[in-house]
Parts: sequence; structure tokens; C-alpha cells
Amino acid sequence: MNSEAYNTAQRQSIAGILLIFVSSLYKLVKIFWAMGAYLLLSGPSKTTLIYTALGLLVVTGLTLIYSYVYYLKFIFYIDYGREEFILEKGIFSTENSAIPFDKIQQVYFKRSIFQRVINVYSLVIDTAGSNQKEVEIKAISENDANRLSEILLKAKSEKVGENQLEEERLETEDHEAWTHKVDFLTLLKIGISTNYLRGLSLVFAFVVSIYNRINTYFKDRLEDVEVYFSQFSGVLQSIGYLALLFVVLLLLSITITIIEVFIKYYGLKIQQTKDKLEVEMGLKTNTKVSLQPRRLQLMRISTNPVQKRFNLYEAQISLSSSENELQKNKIKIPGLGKEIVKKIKSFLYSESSESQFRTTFSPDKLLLFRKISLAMVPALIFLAVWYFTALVSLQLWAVLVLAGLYVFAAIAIQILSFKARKLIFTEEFLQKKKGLWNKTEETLELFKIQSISIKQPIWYRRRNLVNIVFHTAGGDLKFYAVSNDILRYINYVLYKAEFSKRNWM
Amino acid sequence: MDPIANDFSNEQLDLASLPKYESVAFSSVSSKYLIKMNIQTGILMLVLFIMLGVLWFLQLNQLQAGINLAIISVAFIFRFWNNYKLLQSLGYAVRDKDVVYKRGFIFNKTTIIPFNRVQHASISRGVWDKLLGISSLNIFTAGGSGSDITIPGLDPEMAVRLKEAIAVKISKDEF
Repeated sequence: MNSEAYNTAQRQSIAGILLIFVSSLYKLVKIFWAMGAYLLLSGPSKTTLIYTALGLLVVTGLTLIYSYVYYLKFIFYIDYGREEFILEKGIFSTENSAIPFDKIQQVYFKRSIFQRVINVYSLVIDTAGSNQKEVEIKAISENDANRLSEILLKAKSEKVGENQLEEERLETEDHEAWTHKVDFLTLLKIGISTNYLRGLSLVFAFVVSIYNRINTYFKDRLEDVEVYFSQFSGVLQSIGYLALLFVVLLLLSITITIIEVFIKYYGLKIQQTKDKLEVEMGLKTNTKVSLQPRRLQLMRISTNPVQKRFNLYEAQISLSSSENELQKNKIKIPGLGKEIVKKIKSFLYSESSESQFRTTFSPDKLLLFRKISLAMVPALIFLAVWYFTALVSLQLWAVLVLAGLYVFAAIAIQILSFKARKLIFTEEFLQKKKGLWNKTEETLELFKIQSISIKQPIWYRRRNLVNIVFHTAGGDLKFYAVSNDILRYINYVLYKAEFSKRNWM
Repeated sequence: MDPIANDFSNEQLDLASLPKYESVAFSSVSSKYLIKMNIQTGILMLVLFIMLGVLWFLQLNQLQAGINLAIISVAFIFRFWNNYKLLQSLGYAVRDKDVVYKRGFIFNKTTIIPFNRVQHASISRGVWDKLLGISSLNIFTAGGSGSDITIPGLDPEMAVRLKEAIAVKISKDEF
């Protein structure tokens, strides 16, 4: 193989012009569509329309020229002498990024539907850990994408290998350990069992607003008794319609969620090779990510009773990244069976799970008290609205029943979820469990912390309580209102981080 | 898999015998920082008073202006008192392996950053800092803004010394 490939200036695939053209047109449309809509609605004269059309033509032409020049100015190459990947782009303001090989974190491909149509790939070079942004080459042919990523990954691993004891092996040498594919049926199950609460609340809000509208409509006519009676059957009918509407809306919200799930997670595939986990998913934009245990910062496993019944767990994995890209580097993988979760865990956390101790902390009752008081606020607002305004027209007993039910439910939920809240320390790990319905479990390897914050508001002082925040490169793990016995364990975590010779990323 | 370190041992730890961050002796920051905070609060107060004066002149009656004046005054008395308490609560300590920084009277917060997690440290000086002859030391980690710390009101020489000390510790930990 030619080891000096791509050492001269390269352009994107010629189809890239089309991609730039379409995406800049799309941007323009996004900015000016409101203006266009206004123009159309205002009933324009013929001459204005002609001028607008001419203007549009000119704009399109200019965009085409812009796309071509942008294409010409978009240049990338590899500087083997200085061991850098270099990318220059921009017409008016030029941007010149140079990525040293050893700063490269990940190289991966992405594809949107449009990119699929014109048969190009996006090649993304991630430079996590530094403040430099990622680099994306938006239109590159499959052949180039493969070769370039191979060269970059190889150059990176050679460069990294010089400095570090642990040598990352090339992808080609890996042998597969196992592969897990999420099939059509599982995706359907995920679609049904996630987010239905959101859908339900949406439906509820809609129904309430409709109910209010109908209510006011009838109130206006209530004085007129005759009309009231003649419309009584109408009311019954409208209730029937409402019920139908409700069912339709519910089905709609479920359908939307299912479609959403399919777009996001279609073709979800997890593959474990010798030293990394490859995750591939997505219909609209196909993303491939490789997880290395070293990069893992925080892992969250969540499920709810319905999903548990289906044996579905969702893993959310935070990888190390720079500060600005925290969100981007959280990968959600839904639809995992219990065995798979176990496999992933045992791969990512190679340490033995045996521990000399296991200490569990629960929050203080003060937290429960605060949560309950907070939960009472909506009830108070509702009562105030009922008492002082005419927005809600209900009898006293109905209000009392509603308020009583709410208070009872709120307190019960708060107590149960308070009991579910736990922080567990073991020799190597920290685990936070929470959630009454949506149960989540966050795991953090102790030495991966970046820093720890201990907060104590003045009213915690007498009760010797503290709020703890563990900062990691993949987000924070917080635990509130815990007795200061925990400080011993804080010192232990610090000891673990300071003593460990292992790299946190 | 990680290679096993040469000096690896795995004795049982006695949690109680670990060094305690909460019992370190904190160094306090320069009282000039209190002056800086008070100047800033004072400017804000002045601006608000002028605005109130203009309003009073334009449309408020005596009573309304009086009530507003009282509210603003009380709020600022509280701010000044809080500034004073804040200065007292500010403290930092440099241990062998980490730096500890605490601040806040009403909301006390202590952050501990191990040196082997520090990305870089820098010194910043604003206009008031230059006039008063103090510096702030910023310590950055990869854990996001909540994880970074800024120690204000340091003697400039001290800030440079601390920064250098941290730089040495970082490079020592790297290999």
C-alpha cells in the first residue's frame, strides 16, 4: 500500500457540489420561508410575483456558484512530515484546521438520506479531550472514506503507541466476540413502551383544552333552558366524539413514537471485537460509533416495569469528550436484553465485581419533606385559581375530592421514589439508583472522576447533611441531602483517583 | 486490558485512616477581594439608585419611591453583609495530590480536584484586579464548567507560584 497516500491536496467527491448546493438552499429556505409565506398570503400582484421569481432564480444561480467555489476551496490532505491531518475550507472567512494524529479520538462515517441518494459519506474526525471542534468532510466517496479512515486510524495508533504502553490494535486484526442485533419486533416493542407517558400527557392536555372550550360554549347558553335540553343529546354525542378523539390521539402518539424509534434506531447492531464495542444504528443518519472501555465515563441503565416485562433495558453511555460536546457523546442504546446488558457491562468494566465492602447511602428525610412540599405547589396554585378566579368552575366537594386525591397520590409517589433513591459505594464503583417507574441505575468507575464538589447550604449545617456532585468527563452524578458520614467515602474516591496510574481516557 | 503495574499491591484499606480533605488547614484570600466585591456591588447599587431617582422625578410619588428605596437598601445591605461573609468563607488548600477550594456562606461549596485530572491552569486579572493588585487562578478539568474552579483574590506572586506548582504536578503525573 502506498504509505504516503493523500499527501497532496484532495477535494471532496464531485457529487459534493450537489450536496453543498442543496444544503445551502435548504438553509436559505429555512431562514426565508416565513417571508415567502407572507408574500404569498398577502395576495401579491403579477409584477411582484415575476420579480420574486427572477430574484429566486438569481439567488439559486448565486448559490450554485457559491457551492462550486466552496467545493474548490474545500481541501484536505495529510501532512506526513508534521504528522497532521489538514483541512482548509471557507470562501469569505477561511478556516484551517490541523489535527495532530495523536489528538484523533475517533474516525467514523455518517450518512443522511440525501447522502445515500448521491452515494457519498460523511467522514467525521473526532478530537475529543481538547477544545478543538470535530472535523467533518461531508461528501466523500465510499472508497476514499474507507482508505482515509484506515490511514488515519493507523497513523493514530502508531503515534499513540509510541507514547503509551498499551497498544491499540488495528481493526482488521480483531476477531468478533459476539454480535447483537435488535430486530424489527423489538423496535416495535420499544416504540410502544417508551414515551407513552409523554404521548398520554399530550393527549390529556389536548382533551382538557377541548373540554374547556366546550364548557365555555355551553355556559354561555346555559341560561336558555330550552336550548339546553335540545342540546342535551348533542352533549352525549360530543362525549362520544371526545372518546373517539382520545383513542385516535393515543394511537397517533404511539405511532409517532414508533416512527421516531425506527428512524433513530433502525438496524441497531452491537458488535464486540477484541478491544472495542461497535455500535451502528439509524435510518436517516446512519451512525457508527466504537466504544473503548478506556473512553467510558458514565453508564446509565434504565427500564420501566412494562419494558422489564418485555426484557428491554436502555443503556446510555457517556464517553470522554471536550466540554462543548458532552451531549453529542452520549450514546443511547435501547432494546437490550438483560444478558446483553450484562455482557456489555462485563466488557466495559473489566474489573472483577467482587468487593470487600458495599455501603449504601440513602438521602435524609429532609429531601423527602422538600420534595413533598414542592409537589404541593401545583395543588395550591389550582386551589388559588379556583378560589380567586372564574377559570375553573367546580363545586366545593369536587375540588376537595380532586385536591385530596392529588395530595394522596403525590405523597405516595414521593415516599416511594424517595425510598428508591440510593447511592452505593463498592471497592471500584459508585452506583446511583433512582426512580419509581422509570428505574435508572448509573454506574461510575471511581477513578474516572474529574473532581468532587460537596455543597452545604446553611440549613443543612445543623443536620450535618451535604449534597455531593461527582464530576466526570461524561457528565455529573449528583446525590442530594446525604449524611456527612459519606465524607469518608469521598476521601476514598479521591484516594482512588489520585493513586490510580491508569489513564482516565 | 490494562497492563498490571509493577508496583501493584492490593492491601486492605482502612477507610478511617485515609487522609481527610475536611480537616485541611485552608489559606484565606486577600481582603482586597472584599474591596473588589464591594466596589462591584456599590456600582450596581449606584446605578439602581440613579434609576430610581429618575423614576421618582418622572412619575413616582413620595410613598412609592420611599418603599422602593427601602427595598433596594435592604437588599444591598444584605449583599454587603454577604460579601463580607463570602470573603470569610473563601479558602483554598494545596495538598500533595490535589487542590481543595471552598467558598460560599449561605451555599457553601467545596471542590476537590486531583492534580492528575487537571487539564491546565491559568491566571486571569480584570480591571479591578489590576488596580487592587490581585489575581485569580483558574484551574480547568475535563469535567465541564461545574468541575472547574476559580480562586479569586490571590496575591499575584502567590498566583504565579501556585500555577507553576500545579504545572509541575501535572507534568509529573503524566508519565
